[in-house]
Amino acid sequence: MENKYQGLEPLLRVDNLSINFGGLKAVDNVSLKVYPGEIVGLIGPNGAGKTTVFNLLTGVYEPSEGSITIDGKEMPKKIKPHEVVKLGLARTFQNIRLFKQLTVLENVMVAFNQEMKTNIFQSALRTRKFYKEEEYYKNKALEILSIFDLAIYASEQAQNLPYGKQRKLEIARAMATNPKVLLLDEPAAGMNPTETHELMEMIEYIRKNYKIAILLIEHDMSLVMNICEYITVLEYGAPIAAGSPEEIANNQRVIQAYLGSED
Amino acid sequence: MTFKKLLMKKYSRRVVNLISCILLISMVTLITPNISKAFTTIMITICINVLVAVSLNISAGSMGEVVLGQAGFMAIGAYSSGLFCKYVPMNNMFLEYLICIVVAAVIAGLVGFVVGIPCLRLRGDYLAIVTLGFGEAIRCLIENLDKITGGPSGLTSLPRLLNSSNRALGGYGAVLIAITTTVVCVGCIYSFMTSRYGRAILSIREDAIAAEAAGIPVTRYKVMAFTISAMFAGIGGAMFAHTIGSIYPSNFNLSKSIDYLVMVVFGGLGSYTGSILSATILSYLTIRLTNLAAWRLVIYSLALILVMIFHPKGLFGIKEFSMTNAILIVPGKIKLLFTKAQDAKNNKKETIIETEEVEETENNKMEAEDEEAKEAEALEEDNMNNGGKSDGK
Amino acid sequence: MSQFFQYLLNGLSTGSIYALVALGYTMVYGIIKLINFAHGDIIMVGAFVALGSTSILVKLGLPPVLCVIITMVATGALGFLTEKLAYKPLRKAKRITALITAIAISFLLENLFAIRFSSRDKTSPTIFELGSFKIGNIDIQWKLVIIISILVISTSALTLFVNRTRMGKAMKAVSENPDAASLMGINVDTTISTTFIIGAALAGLASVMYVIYYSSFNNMLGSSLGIKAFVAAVLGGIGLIPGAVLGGLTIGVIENMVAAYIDPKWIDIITFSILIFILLVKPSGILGKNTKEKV
Repeated sequence: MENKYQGLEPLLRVDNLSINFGGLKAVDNVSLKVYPGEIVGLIGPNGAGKTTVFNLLTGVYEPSEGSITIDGKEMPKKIKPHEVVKLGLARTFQNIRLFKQLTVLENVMVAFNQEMKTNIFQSALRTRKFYKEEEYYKNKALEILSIFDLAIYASEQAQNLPYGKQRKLEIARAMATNPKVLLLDEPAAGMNPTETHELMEMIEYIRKNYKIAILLIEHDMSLVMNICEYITVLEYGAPIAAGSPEEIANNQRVIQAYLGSED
Repeated sequence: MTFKKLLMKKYSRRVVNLISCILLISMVTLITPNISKAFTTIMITICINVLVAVSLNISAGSMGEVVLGQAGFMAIGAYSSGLFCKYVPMNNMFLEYLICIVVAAVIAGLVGFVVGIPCLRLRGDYLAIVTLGFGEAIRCLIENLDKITGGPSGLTSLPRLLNSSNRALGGYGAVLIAITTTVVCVGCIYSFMTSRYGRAILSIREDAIAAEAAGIPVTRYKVMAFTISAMFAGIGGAMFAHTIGSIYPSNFNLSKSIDYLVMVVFGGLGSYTGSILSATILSYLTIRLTNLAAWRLVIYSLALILVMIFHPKGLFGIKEFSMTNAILIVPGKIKLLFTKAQDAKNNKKETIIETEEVEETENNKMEAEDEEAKEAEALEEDNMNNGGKSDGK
Repeated sequence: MSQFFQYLLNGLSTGSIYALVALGYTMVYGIIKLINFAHGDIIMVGAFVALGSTSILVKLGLPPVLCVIITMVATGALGFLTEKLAYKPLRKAKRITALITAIAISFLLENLFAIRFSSRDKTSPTIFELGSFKIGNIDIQWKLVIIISILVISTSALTLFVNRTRMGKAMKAVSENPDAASLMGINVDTTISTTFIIGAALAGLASVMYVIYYSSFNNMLGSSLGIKAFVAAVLGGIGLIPGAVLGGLTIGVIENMVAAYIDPKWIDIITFSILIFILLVKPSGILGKNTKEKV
């Protein structure tokens, strides 16, 4: 498995990432590599610090130690979440965070904002450029929505979508920022098996067609074992195992972490 | 059907909007017997209030932050305009008015920017208090800097272009200028708020963390919205100064800020057409019911409480009213309502359906100008006809 | 130097009034995260009640001090009513809705009283006939001593109440997490109502202090006092009882110093600047801890 990416530069590279909250080491010396077109799973029991890793990656928290490199460029320590997006890192949230009262289309259009170029005056005066740009990005947004089978809901308010589709819309919005690395925080949470299956196909599709690196946190083991090529397991903030799905499934340490030791 | 298709064309929408605007204005002019002094005052007051209410809707509605200092920005606009007139006397009243508007916008915008940077890092309720404090502080400042501003006795004998007594244009011209100013400003605000900037500001209201994760520099956009809101409130202030001719700090007290908040809330926080409509109605009522002046504020605040408890969406919610959509959808809806009412009668059911229907009609009053709405409408129309989901393309 | 102590003492007594008002803000904010804009106006109502009840008490030949109880009961009832009628239906609504309602209530009270009692200044009722005494060459008025001691007593009582009684613990629980608290068998509605009643009763006490200290008041008393007390609550750290006291006293002293050494005209502007400054430097206040919204 590892050989497939030999010689390639990883798109996302995390070295010895740590953060302390007071005395607590919430994330302790985590290292990761995600190559273009690879799907890496980040698993671990509740409270293992998985989401904290995402928050460190996206600039919500400032790491106490370690470095993050995206496509060869090291991320500055002090960085705001919206600047991280410019570096090519997009994320979804564990508890869905959509712009509920905006339409599905607008939800995706918001993510194009960082690419769009019309200035305040052109917008206020509605120049030809403004209309052109709106039209262009609207079509682009519909394109992305159709990947996720959401195009027919374009003018619905996001809050009216069923749960599974809201999750998909969040991924669509993240994709609209044109990321190099996509971070998915429990994308299958609350989905039924059919929806999870659809989601898996979609993630496969993105991987094949966009050649981006995908890092995902997930509790649904069938999903993780099926689509991840490499898995890192965290417990109490520290990595306890890493390897292919088969290796992880048979790792005693991991089984212990999930089920507790027998003594 | 062909009529409907014709209406849905991009340009015919604008034509419809234009025609309905013209119809509305001519109706107003026809209803009033002649351009009396009272009429001029009412029209100009409505124009000013519409502009300031719409400007407040940027921050209170679209950004979702309660701002209680809008009168403060008005005061800055009014005083910078007044002081400009005082120290740079000009012969051409119209040119002076234009320059005053620009000066007011720039200075109010600058103050909004400076105040906005620290304040907008705060969460909603803190911001409300800070802006309230700001509004009061501005008033105090104006009162205390009496060497420049004339203190509590105000700035008097300023040029009054927007007044029926102006020599240059007379009442009719004054009304026309006021309407033009308001229409241009509101038009700019509206197109700004439906552009990528507006969308970003809305997304911040919906979920700031998600907006940040989608690449929106939240603080910068909030400050931008606040600054623009202050700018147009400043223009409103300059118009006010040009209407009355004398300005006092007490013109811009807290109750003035609350007045505007009431207008925006009644119209529906986030709905620009709602703000325009409710500002018009409330300003008209305020002027007409002067003998109830003391009770006005009591009624306003009671109404505000009731609206908040029973119908927090206000008139239009976050939706916009559009003439084209009204023409397209309302007749169908009324028909639907009628048949449903009949069904209900037949089935001896109660009126629950009807209330549902009203809500749906509200949903249908969507923004008209761009393609987005067109598509929304196509979808909705299909929904209406087929009663089910259909392909949006 | 004795002048300075005089100002300091005055500052501490106005500060005590602010502190007591700030306590009301803090308690309500702590429990339902709402800035109760109407709180200042409850004090205004309290002042009117104090005025009315003193004259009745005097007519009946009873000691005017009893007006304290009447006022506290009246304002407590008012607090209870506003909560039940206006805030309770909005508990699940957006925060902006509750906030606008609070503003509206404040405005309603101010204007109702303006219509009923006109907006002219009223002379404060005489509750105590007290002079002053001297320490060294500082002239100390008894009323200042009384005001400061009311603050000390009420704050200690409140602290004991919150930390020791069942209801106090329920309040803490509800402010942490209302849903979890209700699962633990705490009646959230009753707890919130109690908080409002206590906050409003303290406001009643503050209005008595106000009429003792100042010689006149009018229907706008609430908005200026309210803003200052709110600044005090934020300064000390909103949601914290000691924070409210510290903030109130600080604002009181600063205000009196500004009035004495600079110009009374600048009081409001300086108070506002303090608010901006504290929110910029440490939004959680002097005693508060910084928290960030969880992602």
